[in-house]
Amino acid sequence: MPSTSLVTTLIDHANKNPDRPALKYDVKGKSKVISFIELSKLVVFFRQEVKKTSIPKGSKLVVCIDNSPEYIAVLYASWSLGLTVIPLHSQSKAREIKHILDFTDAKLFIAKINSPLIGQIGAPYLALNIEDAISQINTINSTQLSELDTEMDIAQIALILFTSGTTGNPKGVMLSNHNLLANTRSIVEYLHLSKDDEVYCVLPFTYSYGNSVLQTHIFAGACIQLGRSMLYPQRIAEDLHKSSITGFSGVPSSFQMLLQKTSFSKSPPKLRYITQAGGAMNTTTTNELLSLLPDTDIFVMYGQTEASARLSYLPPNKLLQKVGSIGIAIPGVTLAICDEQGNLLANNQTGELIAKGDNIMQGYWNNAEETQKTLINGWLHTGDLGYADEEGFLYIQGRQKQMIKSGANRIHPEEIEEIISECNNVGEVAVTGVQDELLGEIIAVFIVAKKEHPAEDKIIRAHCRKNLPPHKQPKLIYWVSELPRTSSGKVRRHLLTESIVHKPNS
Amino acid sequence: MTTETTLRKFIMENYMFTEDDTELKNDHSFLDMGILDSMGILEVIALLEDDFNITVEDEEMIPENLDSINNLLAFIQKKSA
Repeated sequence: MPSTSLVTTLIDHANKNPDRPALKYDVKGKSKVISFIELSKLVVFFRQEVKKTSIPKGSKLVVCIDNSPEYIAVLYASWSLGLTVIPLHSQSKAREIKHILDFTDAKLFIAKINSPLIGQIGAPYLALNIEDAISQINTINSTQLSELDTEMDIAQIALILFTSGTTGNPKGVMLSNHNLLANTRSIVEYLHLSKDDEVYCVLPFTYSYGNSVLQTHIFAGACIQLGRSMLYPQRIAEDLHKSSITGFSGVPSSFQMLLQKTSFSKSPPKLRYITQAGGAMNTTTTNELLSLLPDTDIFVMYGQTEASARLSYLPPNKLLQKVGSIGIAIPGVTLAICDEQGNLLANNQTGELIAKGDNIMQGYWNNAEETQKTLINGWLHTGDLGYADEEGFLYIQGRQKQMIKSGANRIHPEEIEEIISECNNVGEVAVTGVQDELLGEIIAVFIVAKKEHPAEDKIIRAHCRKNLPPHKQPKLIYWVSELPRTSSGKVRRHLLTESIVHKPNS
Repeated sequence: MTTETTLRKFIMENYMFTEDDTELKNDHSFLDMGILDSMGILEVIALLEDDFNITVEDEEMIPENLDSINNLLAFIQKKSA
């Protein structure tokens, strides 16, 4: 019987290869390494801490921590106790977090010891102190390690990942231990991950892509280097060259930034694979990467949170031949294209991409209506429109849904609209994504001002700054006399997008 | 306006949307405080290039040069020397 849970796999590595590095990270310029045995002991330590809060098995807890050893350890610790983790972006505002705590009936809020959020949430909380934990793990013995996975249930919901908004009609994707494990196994298989790999991860673990990078590398017994912020891509380019990195995962904008805004101009010595998800790779980037990295496998991948992460990948040897394709189904997943009635379509016919597999979510938390619309007769309806060519390679042509993709972030317009509508000078508001060379899309807001109120950007920006994290701040604000609407009154967002052409730095 | 005032005004007006001078300390990290996003960094670089006549090389786009008012001041001084 292969490993029965992600926690079991971690313990196995700790037993077999205790001293191999599991994590590398920087603290104030100093490099730190955590081995598999140390990581497992940290899991035991935080497990005890979580247990002390007396949170009952099967409950939910909200974790708001950046990519760090604490995040990883408390994630596995919570799973080992049969708890459901709801990770939120580390820059989330108190208001969003409180909303999620209420909506999910989560029993506990977890942050780092120095987080300013601790005092603002008003729910039972646990503050994690990593230095304290590291200084105490020597007392943990092997019996405690072997007991880690005893309370795990494979059908238990391990994660609820909120893809949309924290306001309005939230969609919390419920993923079971089984879902995560199934997806982890197939990703490890097609990326050929092994204990000799070391990935440089700049993606937030709180999103499905970053989460899958984390789990697949731990599963493979590989090392994860916690990357620096994409804010300073030059540092990342330097890191990739200096160290023993074999893998790098990014979104289209990560590669655009590396190629355009850094001195990344020669192949890092050991770079074996790079992965891109969150959009097809354009021809220019494909060609640049191929010529820059002749010995590196370039994987273009596709998926969504509802599928734990991954649904398809383009085998690296097909990259040139199938530019713009998201590839073929990953092991264990079936993909098909269907029409509006749900009938399967032949090759070269455009329809909605649908998916089946053990990685498909259990549904949206407390949102039966959206679940019924998305999971139909055992198929996940992705909301993406596309077709398969004569060889079965898939191409995405558009989205039915309204999500804005900016850098590694997924943003739902409604959430920002709700915040902006609270400003006293706002009559009507519509938010949309506008194409941007570097980030993919940036957030644009169209506002109809209230009569006799000033159409001032400053009021809007100040209110957004207070209530939304940095990645959800609108970049462009347009004051308009009216919003284009359909006969039923819905805003026609695509007309808004077409009304402006944004050129960076212009 | 001094260089410091120009930089502070630029950051506060465009990214913090406040006139309260106490909200931005010169050693505040733009990254840690969530003040700038990746577009913001590029706009700061554009400011350095346009208003201070400084060319910022790719290798210089690092937090030591750009990530606080103090770092920017030191960088401008070094580049203008």
